[in-house]
Amino acid sequence: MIVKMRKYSFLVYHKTYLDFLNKIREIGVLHIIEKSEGVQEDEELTRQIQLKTGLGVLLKKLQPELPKGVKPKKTKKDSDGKALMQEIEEKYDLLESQYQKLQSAEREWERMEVWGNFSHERLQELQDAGFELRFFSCHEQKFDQEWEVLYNAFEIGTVGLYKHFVTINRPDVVVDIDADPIQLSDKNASEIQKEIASIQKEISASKEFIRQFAIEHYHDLQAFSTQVSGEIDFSKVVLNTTAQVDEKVMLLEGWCPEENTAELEDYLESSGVYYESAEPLDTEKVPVKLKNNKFTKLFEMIGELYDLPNYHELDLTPFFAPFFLLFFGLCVGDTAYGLLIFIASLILRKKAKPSMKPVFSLAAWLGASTIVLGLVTGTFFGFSLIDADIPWLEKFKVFMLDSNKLFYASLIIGVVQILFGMIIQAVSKVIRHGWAASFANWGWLLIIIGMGGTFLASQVYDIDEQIVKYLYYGFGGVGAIFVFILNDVKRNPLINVGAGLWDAYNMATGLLGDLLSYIRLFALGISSGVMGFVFNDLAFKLSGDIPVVSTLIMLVIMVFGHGMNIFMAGLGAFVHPMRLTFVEFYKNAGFEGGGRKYNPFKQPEPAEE
Amino acid sequence: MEPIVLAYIGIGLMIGLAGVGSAYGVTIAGNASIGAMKKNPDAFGNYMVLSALPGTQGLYGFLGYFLLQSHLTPDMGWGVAAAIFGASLTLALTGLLSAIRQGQLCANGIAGIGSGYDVFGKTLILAVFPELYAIVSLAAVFMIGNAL
Repeated sequence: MIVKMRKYSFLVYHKTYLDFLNKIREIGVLHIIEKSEGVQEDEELTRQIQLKTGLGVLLKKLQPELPKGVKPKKTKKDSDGKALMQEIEEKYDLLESQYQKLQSAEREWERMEVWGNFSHERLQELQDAGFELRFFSCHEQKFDQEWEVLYNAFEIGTVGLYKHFVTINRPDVVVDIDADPIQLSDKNASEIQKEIASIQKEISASKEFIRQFAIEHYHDLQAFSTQVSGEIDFSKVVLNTTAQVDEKVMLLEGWCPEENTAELEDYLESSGVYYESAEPLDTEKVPVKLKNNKFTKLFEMIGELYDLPNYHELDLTPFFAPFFLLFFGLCVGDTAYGLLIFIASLILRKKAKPSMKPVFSLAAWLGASTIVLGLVTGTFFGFSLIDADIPWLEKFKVFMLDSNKLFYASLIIGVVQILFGMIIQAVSKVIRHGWAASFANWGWLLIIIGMGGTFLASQVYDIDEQIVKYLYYGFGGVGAIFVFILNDVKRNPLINVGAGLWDAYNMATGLLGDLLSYIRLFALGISSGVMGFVFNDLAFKLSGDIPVVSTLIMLVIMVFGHGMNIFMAGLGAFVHPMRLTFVEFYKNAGFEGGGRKYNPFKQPEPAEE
Repeated sequence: MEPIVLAYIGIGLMIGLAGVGSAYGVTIAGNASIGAMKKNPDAFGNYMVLSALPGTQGLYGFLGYFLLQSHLTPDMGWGVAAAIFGASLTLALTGLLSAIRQGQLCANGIAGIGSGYDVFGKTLILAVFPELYAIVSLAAVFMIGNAL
């Protein structure tokens, strides 16, 4: 159900406003009404948002640095987030420049490697003695042997297809050959090697520093990020405040759940702030907070995937939850798979973080449902229990449905859910708008349930033909009056008839389509069972007759096949019931949606350690 | 030609074409998901759900075989073979084309979510419409199987 809210409006003297906001944040139950025209970000908010984004990027970079198995140290009380951020960002910049130095040094080395270890002093001595050495490289096919004679070319080495050579001449000799001149770098090959080694040492030192920093300060930075989030929320609230009376009085409006109003009003009374509280109007957009029992609560996350109900309508979660459970079980349709899902979710739930525990609880429920419905469809790990000759199963076989019965069963389930949805819509209209608004709905229900019920009864029981005819006329007639004439009591009856005809067309096409959609439960259930059977068959037939190896092959095929089947069946069993809920059920239950989640202004929660 | 040849041709088309349709459909949607993840990686759950939707037509094709297999005997008559061929052909065609189109629809929805529009629920609803016809064909296969 949707928690009732009350609207609060405050008028606060501007000097005490920040204290007031801090106290409201501490109480943490007020959902602030944002200005409809939106909020212009001021400098402070922009800076904070940029800081938060930067922190996010930094935390993402630091995460993989944490060595496996080493837990980062817990948050320290007085860590200076900004200083830490600056320190680590400087280190990252340093690392970046070190990598660049390494890259250029390595490039230099590749260039200089072929020349080996020479000494620049010797080259200078030779130059002073009147010998000009020039260094060239060219493609080996282009190398002209004449150059060895003309210019005293000496080959030094070949790198790939390129010859590297030296020419020694008098300074006045012009060496004009078709080769690329090489400018030697200041260091020779072995010196560059040493340089590379030292840069690499620096790099490992930096990386080690980053690793240690991550272990020391990861949680500190997370705490800082949480703090900045809180500051951003605070800034946003301040920006959403309307200043009145020359900015002397601050007007703030918000919603508070009825169960928390006592807390809020205690503070307001004691602080002397002027406030007004009111019930929400029918036209107002009120934030939605759902409250359900432990079982239904697990299904709220499924509902949130689609849309939250708006404040004024009915929360359909408790109504679709049991159906979803049933559909999931039917769609997987295999007891052994159900057992695996159930056991796996219980094991994972023990090890899970607190925020993930509800997910695994839901998975466990779905697994349990699959166990039961797998027995109903008579499938165990791909083996058909209906065809099996197990004595103690005989009396259970009466509950098992073969594929024929399953087809009709899924259609019947569809009828039940659709009619249930229509009844919910009718009742909901009565509660929200009164009896008059719901006449059309009741009319359709009369027609469908009345005439349908009569039809079924006449098939099963032996009823007098006349009585059956009168029952048809009765239900049909009364229903038709509701649908075609009374559908809108304030309107002209003739327009009502027209609207009724349009409604009838929608009903006929819509209901048929919706009903047929439920066949997918049968389709998915049978196909996953059959796939399991096929993999078993494959495993037995392909494994051959060799004593140990064939059992191994069989197990491999079965593990691979059933693993894939569980994944595909599970995905389908989650997606399609979800679709049936959101499309067929919500449509027939008159779901409007558009609700905004209740998000109170409160202290940000620290990240889980 | 023996009647059973015609029947099996139909079955082959049914499983094959419906499977091809689903394969194309989920691939089209999957490709859109990869593109959308570059812009909005957090909505992967939504992408996965929408990508899975065109996968059912292949299952319907497989199921159709399962529903008709009891009639596939070597000494079946021409009438039975024709019925099986007809039923298989409907599911083959509707499965193939509805799955491909449904995949394109879901891909558009995924692209929309990737661009930051909140269209998951509405895409889910719109994706229903092509599939209706595949389901109608499956129901027809079931009923033809029962009528034989």
